[in-house]
Amino acid sequence: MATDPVFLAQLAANGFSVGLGYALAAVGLALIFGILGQVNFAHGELYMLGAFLLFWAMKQLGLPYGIAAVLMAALMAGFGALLAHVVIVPNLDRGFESVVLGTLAVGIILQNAVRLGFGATPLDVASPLESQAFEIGGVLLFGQRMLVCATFLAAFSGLYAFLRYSEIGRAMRAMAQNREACVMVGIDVRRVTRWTGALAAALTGLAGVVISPLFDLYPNMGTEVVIKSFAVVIIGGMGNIWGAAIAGVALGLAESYAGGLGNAAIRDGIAFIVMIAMLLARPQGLFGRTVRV
Amino acid sequence: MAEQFVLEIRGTTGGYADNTVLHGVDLAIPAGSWTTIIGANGAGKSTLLKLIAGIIACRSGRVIFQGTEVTRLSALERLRAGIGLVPQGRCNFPLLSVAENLLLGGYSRRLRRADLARESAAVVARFPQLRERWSVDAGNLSGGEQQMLEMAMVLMARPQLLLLDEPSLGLAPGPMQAVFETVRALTAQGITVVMVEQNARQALERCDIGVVLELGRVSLVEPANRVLEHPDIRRSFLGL
Ligand SMILES: Nc1ncnc2c1ncn2[C@@H]1O[C@H](COP(=O)(O)OP(=O)(O)O)[C@@H](O)[C@H]1O
Ligand SMILES: [Mg+2]
Repeated sequence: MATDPVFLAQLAANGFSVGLGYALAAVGLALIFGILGQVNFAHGELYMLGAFLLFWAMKQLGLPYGIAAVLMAALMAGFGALLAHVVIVPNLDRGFESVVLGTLAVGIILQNAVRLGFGATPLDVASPLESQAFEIGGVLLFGQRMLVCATFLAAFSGLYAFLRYSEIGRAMRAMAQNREACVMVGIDVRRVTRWTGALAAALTGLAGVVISPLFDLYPNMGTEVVIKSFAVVIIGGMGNIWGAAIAGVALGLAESYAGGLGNAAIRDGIAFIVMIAMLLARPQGLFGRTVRV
Repeated sequence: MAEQFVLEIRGTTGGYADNTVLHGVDLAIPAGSWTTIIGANGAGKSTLLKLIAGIIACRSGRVIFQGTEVTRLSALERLRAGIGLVPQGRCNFPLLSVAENLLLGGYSRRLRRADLARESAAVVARFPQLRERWSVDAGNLSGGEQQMLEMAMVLMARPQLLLLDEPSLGLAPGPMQAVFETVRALTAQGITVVMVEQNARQALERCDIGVVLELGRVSLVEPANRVLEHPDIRRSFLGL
């Protein structure tokens, strides 16, 4: 049974779609590290906030899923710019500890604000694709999982184009390489910082929108995501967004096969095991720390 | 009278956190001249250039550029006004090509891409060795080539005042000559250059004005040939 090719293909399909979700959830963390050299400890809460904003836009405003998602991404971009302006911009010239503490504080505030506003009882957000599934050669593909894959493709190709061709994207790549040289040529590093925060938060919120219908919503739902995101970012190379994509898929596949052929305990430990092995053997990650497009 | 000086610094103090490095610097730089600032390690030479460029704040006193006070302007605003700084040590985008580095050099001017490309071709005409390395990553250039690239990047911003912090640091005699020759060519085109140099003798033999900075104060401003002959300077800075 374990070697049944259809079963193995099903595990691959599951792992692949889960892994692209990991990559989508992690890319914001990789972006902030790669471009600003800062660690965002409110990353999980950005994901959580995106999910709750989606819930709010659908339940309170009565918007359909797709429109609520667009509204949420815009709100998240604004919030990310604000977070960058308040927490990161004043600390650009200080050590990374200031931003670690600042974002940690923001994360705690967000968790409690959401608990105050929505309560601690798990909530559910419904997506029209949730109950859809179709079959190819015996392998089941689930609608919402396919939406995660499509969103990954759209988000990463959009990000590629933005970094490659837009004026602010060029400045972001420049800042990833040398902030002093940015000042030398007159790139406004504060503005680039706010843009990076906006982009990272919008992408993280988008991950929340497409992934959260698969799970419950609760104020510290970001914890699990943030662990997977750190694993993906460390494995792929701190700040390397393409490394994060590959590491996300690799982690998703490894977990899927471990869970399907081994057991759930092994599956849940994989992220930690690989992360620790990576930090010991190759701390720069598989692909090194670069934002190169 | 004031307009003959492209830059005037009056009683400026500045430093880092609770470490005041510059204790009331006065300096006036004539337009189109080449000034070299010499002084011991830690005297505040780099700090002075950073203060002129607006990278660190002026705590008291004034900075006047082309007759206009710029004391409160940011580094970006001063670059747009015409003050460009090439900092000490390597300062480029190592994973981008020479061509891309030059395009980023013009970032502050918000030019259209075609104009930017035309300008970078014009700027690089001054640096023939960069043209040969057009599509090489900046990080793979030699030290001398990287120094030239950084000067070319800042020239893309069209400064009238170019500040160079130890441009010959770590360079062999050949590339060092090339850097000095380029600086001379720039001043011939009307760009004012203020440079900090450890290779004091080589620089003073070529430049117009010598400035000695000691413990955050200007202790001497003279025509460069006079500075070269000054007995104390010969002993302390020129190893003669
Ligand atoms: N970024 C900085 N932060 C704090 N202190 C600094 C910094 N840069 C330089 N200093 C201090 O300022 C003083 C002058 O430094 P600097 O201007 O670099 O000297 P110079 O260029 O003449 O060798 C030194 O005592 C140095 O330790
Ligand atoms: Mg110095």
